[in-house]
Amino acid sequence: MQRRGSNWAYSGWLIILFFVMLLSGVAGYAATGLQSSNFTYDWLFRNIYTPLGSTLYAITGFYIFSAAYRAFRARNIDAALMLIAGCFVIMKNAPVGEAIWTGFADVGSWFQLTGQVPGMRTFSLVGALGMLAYGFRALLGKERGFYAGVGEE
Amino acid sequence: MSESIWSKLGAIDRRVFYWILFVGLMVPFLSPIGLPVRISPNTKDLWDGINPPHVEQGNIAIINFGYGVSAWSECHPGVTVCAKALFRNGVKVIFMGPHYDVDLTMARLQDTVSEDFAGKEYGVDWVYLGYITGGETAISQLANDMRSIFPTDAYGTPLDDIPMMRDVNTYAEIDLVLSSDTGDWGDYFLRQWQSTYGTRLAEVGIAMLASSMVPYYLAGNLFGLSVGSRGGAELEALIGEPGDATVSMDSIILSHILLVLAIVLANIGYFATRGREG
Repeated sequence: MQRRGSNWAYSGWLIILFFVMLLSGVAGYAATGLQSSNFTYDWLFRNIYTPLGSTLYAITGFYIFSAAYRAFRARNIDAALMLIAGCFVIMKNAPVGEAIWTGFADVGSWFQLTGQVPGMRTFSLVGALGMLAYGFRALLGKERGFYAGVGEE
Repeated sequence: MSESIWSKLGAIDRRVFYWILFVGLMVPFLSPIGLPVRISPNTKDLWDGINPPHVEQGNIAIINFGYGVSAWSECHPGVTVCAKALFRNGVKVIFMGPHYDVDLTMARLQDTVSEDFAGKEYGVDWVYLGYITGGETAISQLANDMRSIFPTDAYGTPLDDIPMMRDVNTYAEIDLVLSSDTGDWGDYFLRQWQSTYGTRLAEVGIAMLASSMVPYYLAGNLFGLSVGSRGGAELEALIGEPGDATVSMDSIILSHILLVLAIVLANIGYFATRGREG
């Protein structure tokens, strides 16, 4: 805000709302001794935060739709396979898919319940083994970046 | 000429897509489509697992609200059906949640399952413990000493003063856990309850969690799995009471078709343009 960068007014609005929520919550707690049943805070939460939260989540659908047209290109065989699998799963999730062709549901379910599973299992196992290795290194003092800062001796 | 068409198509302003999707999503509200949904095996297993003979009167279940308001559309219909089924089967339910919206979600559930709550007594048939924080450590501790995490319920009543909770303090008194999540809380229950003590566990998650949860379902760690709004609609079909998820299926039909069309159209354009360039 001090630098008056672009959209600085939104930063100001953010800080104002931060204190509005904070003060309404603290004042309600001081008055009633209850963390819930605070009318002002509840009203702000239910009528402003709740619809905004739902809207924010829903907006991602619009971005994905636009991104699907602009970015989801079968530029190589890997991307093509992923796109095809994705399309089958999408059509499997929408009831119209099986209405058009029952194979959408069968193939989509196969991708979801069988095709992707080896990859996910490998991902989980490798992640777990990586954490074990990291844990050992941390215990032996060879992995100090996390708590001592990178490059500090 | 055709190349210029693909070039123009490729340069469509993104706001055009927003409007196409917006108008497309309006159509089902004006003219519902109402196509039937096929029940997935994972959803059927979840349904079977919360009904006799897998549960019996007097069992105690935990329903964990690991989602906030923003994911109500995906998680809440499934949780609603599960709560209805558990109540109707005489199962006592402990509600709790690690999301700061948990009070709102509990209130929403009492609204969507109002008829079933009306026939149940607080403290005898169900209890609301409220917000839990502390991540996986807290879930682990919850299995061994619930009172160390929740000395009181969400309304300040000590657990010892709640009839249903008098003899409940560890995993041993809990018959099943349903975790509904946008994040990792289902994993915490899986690692700290299911794989450690063998507690029956099911997941009612957002669609994005499907890929990470399916391996656990196939391995038998989860006795059932509901995936997103689609899973909610399947559960509503199984209980025979269409609700929010069934309604949302119409919007999903339109949005998914538009999404696939966008992908197909874009790739036709991509290959047509690339072929000419090559």
